[in-house]
Amino acid sequence: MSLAFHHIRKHTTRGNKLFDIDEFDIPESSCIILSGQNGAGKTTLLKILAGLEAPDNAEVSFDGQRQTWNTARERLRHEVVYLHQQPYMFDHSVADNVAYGLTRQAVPSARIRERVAEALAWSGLSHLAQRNARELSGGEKQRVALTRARILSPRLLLLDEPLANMDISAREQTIQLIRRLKDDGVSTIITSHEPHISVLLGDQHRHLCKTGPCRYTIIKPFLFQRSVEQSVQPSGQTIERPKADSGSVMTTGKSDDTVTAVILAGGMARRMDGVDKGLIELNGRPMIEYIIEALKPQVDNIVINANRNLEQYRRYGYPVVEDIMGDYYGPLVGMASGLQSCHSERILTVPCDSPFVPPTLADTLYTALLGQEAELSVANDSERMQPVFAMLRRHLLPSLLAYLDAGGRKIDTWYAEHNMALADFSDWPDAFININTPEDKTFVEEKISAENRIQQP
Amino acid sequence: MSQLLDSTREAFTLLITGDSTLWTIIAISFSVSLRAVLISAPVAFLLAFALANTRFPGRRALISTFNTLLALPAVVVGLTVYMLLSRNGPLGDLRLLFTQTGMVIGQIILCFPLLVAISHSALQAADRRAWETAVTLGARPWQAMLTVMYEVRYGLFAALIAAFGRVIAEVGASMMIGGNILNHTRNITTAIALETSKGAFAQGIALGFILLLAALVLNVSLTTMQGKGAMR
Repeated sequence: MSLAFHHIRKHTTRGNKLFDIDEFDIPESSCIILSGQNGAGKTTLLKILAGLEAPDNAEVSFDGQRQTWNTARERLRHEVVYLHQQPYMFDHSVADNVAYGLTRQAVPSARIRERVAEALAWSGLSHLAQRNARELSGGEKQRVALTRARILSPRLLLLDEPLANMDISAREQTIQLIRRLKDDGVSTIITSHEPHISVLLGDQHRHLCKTGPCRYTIIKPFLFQRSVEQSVQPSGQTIERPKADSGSVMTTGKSDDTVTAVILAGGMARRMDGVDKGLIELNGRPMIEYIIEALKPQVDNIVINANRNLEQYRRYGYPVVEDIMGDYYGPLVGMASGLQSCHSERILTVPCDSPFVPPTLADTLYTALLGQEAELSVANDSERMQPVFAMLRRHLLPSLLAYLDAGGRKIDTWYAEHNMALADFSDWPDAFININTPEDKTFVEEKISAENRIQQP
Repeated sequence: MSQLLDSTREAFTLLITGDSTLWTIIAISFSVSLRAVLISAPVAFLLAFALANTRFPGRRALISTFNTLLALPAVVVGLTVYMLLSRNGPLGDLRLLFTQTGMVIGQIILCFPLLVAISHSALQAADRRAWETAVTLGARPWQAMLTVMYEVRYGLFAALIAAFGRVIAEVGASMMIGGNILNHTRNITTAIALETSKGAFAQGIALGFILLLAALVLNVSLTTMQGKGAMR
């Protein structure tokens, strides 16, 4: 029972390329969060997956059997259900709406009544059964739509912005139903901008890019790492929540509470004639060694973000990740790349050109993050914020990607969109000295020698 | 004026006492026009659905053609069908001239463009999500089409009522194709024309009242059905 799509290509009516996706697999019983800028084609993609809108080209594999989209269309329409952002209610009672799919098949009417009653009880809508569905509130309509889909036991359910324009209690009820559908083994794809829903429901996140070198296609920023949850089936048997495929994703942490340090060594070093800053030797040792040494006792894992000299960086035995998008777009992309490459709940970002990393860096940022219940914490020396010394929570990734995809590059602007805590480092005047010019390098080397003389008399 | 009132009273008396000649005239009017509308409607709705939901070469031209045909005069239809059905005409062998079937053919030609034009605009305005929802819930295309038609049923009803109004009131086609034969092809409008030519204006107007009254009864009953959610 596997479903996958290949070579999905679509142009807009004006002939512009909308997307060109090599591979879109749908793991069993998993929930994929699909993000993407407005106009990136999320809805169109879902409609293609549902057999509703014709692509320029696409192939579908059902359980390994590959066929063209045209051949597969009828089957897609039967096994995949698409839910509009604002679900359409037929001008009938709620019960008749829920029965719609079954009445189009040759199901005996007594059986239909039975299953409709059961489905309405499942979603807690029994009391509305005889009401005209058009008269319901937005949240109730969404629940009717979910019930109407569930009664058909689809293989895949596509939800287009299911929580948009809903009040809190309607949201919670909808989320509940989506969760229960997942537990029943239905795969879902949800388009959403909200980090909230990704964390609550998602098993993995995919982003449809509109800009950058990866535009027109899907990138898979990360799989949501969950502590293995056990869900109890009505029959009493327990099943392990199936894990999504790991593929190229590295497992670097188990529990949610790990911290992974991401060393940002992916810059161009324009002011240093383009040398790879992380590899600049200070008193005979590449700068990155100083940083790794300082970070090792502070965090659970280390990831190096670099775009050049990858072999040299790999020597240190830590995962090396390249930027997931763009052409030297700056530290935000490095942060996003680091986040997607690990499973830690929090990442600590550190630049590769500040060799005097304080030994309390992770702890202080962590305390600020937790103490102020923030989404990210940033180091602050006595004068100003040091934005690349930061701790970020995992759920920020969709927002970060959306910001980058929309063309945003400025770190401060993106930070300002979130609940940010400042961590005080005024006790560490040297912490943020960085090397931007050959003069800086000489100064730092002297400082290191001086420190070594103190430590080794 | 008193003559008018007298004739109207007389006409209603005939109606109530069940005068067979008058009732036959009314029955022929309704039978012919209802048949014409009911035969055209399914085809017209299908065509309108195709015009609203598919793209094929010549689609726009077809829509313009139907909109233009709304202005088709009934006498022109009558004349054309008369020429086709007359003994020497290409369809003369069918022997349909001066028959009710001939009248139905003429009225079909008259009401078809109207049905297409009005139901096309109703289906064009239908919510795209209705079709998509039906299809994604596993309805076959024809089932989804019926669902969409149900969702815009008020618009389709309007088309039916307008079409019926057009053909029940026309005189040109009925006169030329039917020939105004008593108890056979004489309907309300051709009877009015005859009374008028005899100088019996009052009788003519009385028949006109009856036509309106009958149309009112039909529309009221259709509206009631519509309210009960008929045409499912």
